[in-house]
Amino acid sequence: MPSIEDATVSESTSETQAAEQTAVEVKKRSQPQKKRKRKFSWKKTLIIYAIMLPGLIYLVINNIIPMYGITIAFRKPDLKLGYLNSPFYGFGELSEYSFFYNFELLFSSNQIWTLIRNTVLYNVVFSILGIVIPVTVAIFFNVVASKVSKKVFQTAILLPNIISWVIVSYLVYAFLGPQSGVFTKMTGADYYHTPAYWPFILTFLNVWKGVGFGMVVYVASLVGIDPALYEAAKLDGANFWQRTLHITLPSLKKMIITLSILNVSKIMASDFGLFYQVTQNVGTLYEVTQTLDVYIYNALKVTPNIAASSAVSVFQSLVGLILVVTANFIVKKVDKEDAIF
Amino acid sequence: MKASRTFVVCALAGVMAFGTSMLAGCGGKGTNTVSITYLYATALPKDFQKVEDAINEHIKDSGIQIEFYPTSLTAVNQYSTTLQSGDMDVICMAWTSPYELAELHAIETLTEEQLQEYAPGVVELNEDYPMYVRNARGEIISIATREEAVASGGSLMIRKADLEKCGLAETYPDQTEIDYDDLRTIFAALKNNETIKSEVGTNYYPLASIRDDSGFFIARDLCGVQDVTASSGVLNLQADPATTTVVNYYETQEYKNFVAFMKECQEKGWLSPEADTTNELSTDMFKTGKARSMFQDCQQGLRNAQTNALKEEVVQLQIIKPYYAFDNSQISWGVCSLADNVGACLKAIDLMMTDKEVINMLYWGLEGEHYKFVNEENGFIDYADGLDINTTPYRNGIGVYGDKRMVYSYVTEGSSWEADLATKNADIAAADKAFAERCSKANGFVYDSSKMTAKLANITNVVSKYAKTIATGKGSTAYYDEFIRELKNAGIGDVIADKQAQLNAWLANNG
Amino acid sequence: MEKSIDHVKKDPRKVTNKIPERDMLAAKIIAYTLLGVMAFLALAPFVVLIASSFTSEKAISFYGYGFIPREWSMDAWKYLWEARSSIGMAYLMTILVTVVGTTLSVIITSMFAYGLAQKDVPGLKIIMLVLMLTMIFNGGMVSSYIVWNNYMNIGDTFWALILPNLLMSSFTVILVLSYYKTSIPGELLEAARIDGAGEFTIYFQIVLPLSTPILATIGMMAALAYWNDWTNGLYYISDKHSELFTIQQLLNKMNENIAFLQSNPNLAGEIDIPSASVRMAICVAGILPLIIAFPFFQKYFAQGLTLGSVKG
Repeated sequence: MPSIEDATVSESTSETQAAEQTAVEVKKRSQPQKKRKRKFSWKKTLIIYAIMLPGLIYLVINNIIPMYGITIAFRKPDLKLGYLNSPFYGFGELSEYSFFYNFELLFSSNQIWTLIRNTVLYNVVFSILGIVIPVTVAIFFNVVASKVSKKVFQTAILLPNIISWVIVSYLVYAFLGPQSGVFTKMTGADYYHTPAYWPFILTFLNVWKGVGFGMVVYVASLVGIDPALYEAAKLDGANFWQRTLHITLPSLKKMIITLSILNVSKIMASDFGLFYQVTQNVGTLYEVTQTLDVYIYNALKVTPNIAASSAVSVFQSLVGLILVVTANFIVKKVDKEDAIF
Repeated sequence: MKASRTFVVCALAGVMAFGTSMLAGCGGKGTNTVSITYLYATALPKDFQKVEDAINEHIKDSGIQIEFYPTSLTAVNQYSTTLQSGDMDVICMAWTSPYELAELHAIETLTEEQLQEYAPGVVELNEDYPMYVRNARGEIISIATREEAVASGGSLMIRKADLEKCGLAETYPDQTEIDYDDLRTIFAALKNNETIKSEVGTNYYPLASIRDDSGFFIARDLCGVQDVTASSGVLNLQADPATTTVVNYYETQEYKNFVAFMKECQEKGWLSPEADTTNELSTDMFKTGKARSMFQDCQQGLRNAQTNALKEEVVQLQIIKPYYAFDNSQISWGVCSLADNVGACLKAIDLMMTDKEVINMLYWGLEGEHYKFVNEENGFIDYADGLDINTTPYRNGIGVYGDKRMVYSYVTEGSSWEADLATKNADIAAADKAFAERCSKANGFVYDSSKMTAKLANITNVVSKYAKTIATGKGSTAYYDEFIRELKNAGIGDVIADKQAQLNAWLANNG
Repeated sequence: MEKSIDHVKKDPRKVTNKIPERDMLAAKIIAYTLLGVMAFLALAPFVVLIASSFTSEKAISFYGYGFIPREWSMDAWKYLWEARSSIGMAYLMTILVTVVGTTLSVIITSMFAYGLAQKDVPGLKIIMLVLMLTMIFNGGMVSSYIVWNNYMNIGDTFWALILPNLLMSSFTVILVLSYYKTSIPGELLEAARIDGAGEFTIYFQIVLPLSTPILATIGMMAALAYWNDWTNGLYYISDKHSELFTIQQLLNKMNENIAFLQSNPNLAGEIDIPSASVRMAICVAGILPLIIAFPFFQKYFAQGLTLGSVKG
């Protein structure tokens, strides 16, 4: 870690020069180092792979081998033969069926566009808020000096994250229930029968539950920023807002971009607990609360169909993949270092 | 820092060691040991192992041994995944349809020859009650539990004390047949009764919330139609027990009457406005007194159970007479396709269905230790000395095993075995009467929905969206019309036509 | 030039000002307000939770949940006390699983991410791509079950609660990777290599200490994931081995039984379903240890916390 002496050195020049130098140093330190030509070393390769070995083994067992299960989306599952040996639709004895037979369940729904609209819109809003709010909270969290206050705040804000959605649904009912709800008594509105309120309610709940988590991630990044940068900037007359804008946010840029790209991959998925349990699966709200996952759950409750749920999962993943590659590509064009791959 | 490196290396070594140790396979069981589902609700009974040993001792001459596989009630939802392990040989599909598992080839199809050879007891039972569950192609997929009272109707359960407070106890003694007008009288009286108000305040409702997600069961109680899955059309037995026309349940006059009545209940404050959003159980509401009455199946045994639970006398008023609609797939037993020895499995099922000792050991445990006879001839028992329902180390009353006519019954607290016998016989008589008089012509027909899965998913979604709101009286007329329109959009007409065609073909063959 | 001499004289670590800066004051006010509101929003429902666990079943049925128990009752907690043997066992198991799982997870994830952060080792790009692919595509429960249960034979063992799904997720790997790339200065590692340090030494003596904040973060994520998980137990642990149940599994089982009863009220006599207040009590019981333990672990975030108090 660069020591305080380095900061002292920069003070002995004039202020304007110091400001410039600080800016340069900020840029240098918040960017990863440039590539330098290095000799390829067998020894290093071996050691690095040895370090990665447990992770690699786990990846293979837990993620790569089971990936074969994606093919279930195209098969007629047969437990006796083994799901992974089951016949494919469109071939052999099943040739009268279309290859995408299992996808028909989802796509022949007359609700499909509503479902996709709901899923995507919620995810977009959740992603944006899921970055803006935790970053803001993290930045202000660092402003608080008292350790005790910090502990209290952090524990409290993390609390919603560890309460399961089922319990949250009871609590939401306690506030919004038609008769005994706290807010219902105050405002007289019939929440569970008015779809218009729910995008806001669900967004609020999603933020409420997730902000503690996001905050911790961003706080961790914030503490990784070299404090000497702030020192230098402060002595050069930058106030809190300027320091935040020019030091803190740029330093968080990579983390924010990384998380955004990762969020994009989940754009067709939704948090089942939020959309099914909190809304009590009330029919009048379906227009704004039913997402892809909830629809499939309802449809398959009566007639369980693992092939169909596998097909939906493949669809969600495919869309996610296309979007992630696109997003990564765009980010690469703007700033090569910020992309994930 | 050296310490942390050592720590990591040790941790990794530990992981590897454990990893290899767990690969050292699990103990196998003999080919003549059959693993059977053992359903339980909250906790495994303490003497579970004792009873298992006793059963195995009893059947040791049959050539097989049984190993019980504790399963919770909702584990059926994971069957399509967990059966891949091959650990279970015989599974119980309780309150879940066996047809899907059969389509997945998770359970074997059984042939008549196999049954004849290994399960002769079941074959014999089949002579006067349909023991086999067949799929749409007529193949036998599982074996049903033999119920005692095979028919059901709908009833209203209400505390006798409440009726007395309203002065209606003489007009409506137990088992009176009532109709919508009687319900109106009762609910109005309950709503305005000063005595009840003074006891619990004004925050109560005459009627409990509905029973299930789609609002179906409660409507069925008041409308009386066949077929649990109304999404594919039903036979309206309430209107005509001999009907063979498949209709849209939600458009029948009975359903419309029911909806109108529920709307009236909402307007007059007889049913909570939270009925469609709350997930409080109707039994809980009835118990705490928030609701003064509830709908339930019309069986006197259930009335006794409620009386026991509430510690107050409960009265049962018949709304729908029992009708016999063939559905023996409610609780059935299947042989897993990954089981080693089908013959042994069938033998185990046979023993469980026909051996009186085995059945009663499964339900109530060991005689003398867990229960004692009150009247052996008619099969009435009571807890062993010093034990009661909370302290007994073995009791499993979930009724999924065997031929239930052989099961002993606990005497109802505060009553006598003679009274209980009368109740039981009354239930059976009612069921037999229904079988004779109001028996659907479509008994045995199974609908093959494989060509209509997408449409059915749509219809289910529509029902899930509208039905509960409408069935609790919270929807306007426009909402109801929208519901019917959406059903048509979802293709219910096509599904009904398909089902009708299949039914006609089946009737032509089996008429 | 005089100004700069003044700067040299003063100790740069002490940011002393005669009047507190206006912008810092504003920032502090906003910070306390914002955080205060959020903390309140987070705690309010929790108060309802606790209050409901002390409310009688009758009061909940008639009046719903509230901030203050309408009718005080210890029934819910008595019910839990009766079942203390199975709940106690479940607690132990949950704690064990969380501790072991979190430790292993942090170790494996950070080591893997460190490997991926290297610049001149061949094949890393491919591994990275594979990692992304596995994060997006999921083979589903069915194939995971076969691999873990039938091939790896972890069914009904302690490892079934730790290994499937939770041990290392691509998401956390990428998170740690991102942190390594931004916050660990390359010059340091260069200098160490030039001095002749081996990769292992660099990792343990330089990288690990520097990455305490992110390790604490992913440790917390892993701990929460393990604590709250019930799906692993649901699929891989049969009811015969109820000693391997975790607290969340018990709660989930209970909720499922309730949902079951809603469609089959005829069984109400046979099944003992805990009332609403008991469910609340169980939830509180499931969360309480986490809340009690968390402040003790916050000291691992403390490196960040102390640095943060100088910053700003």
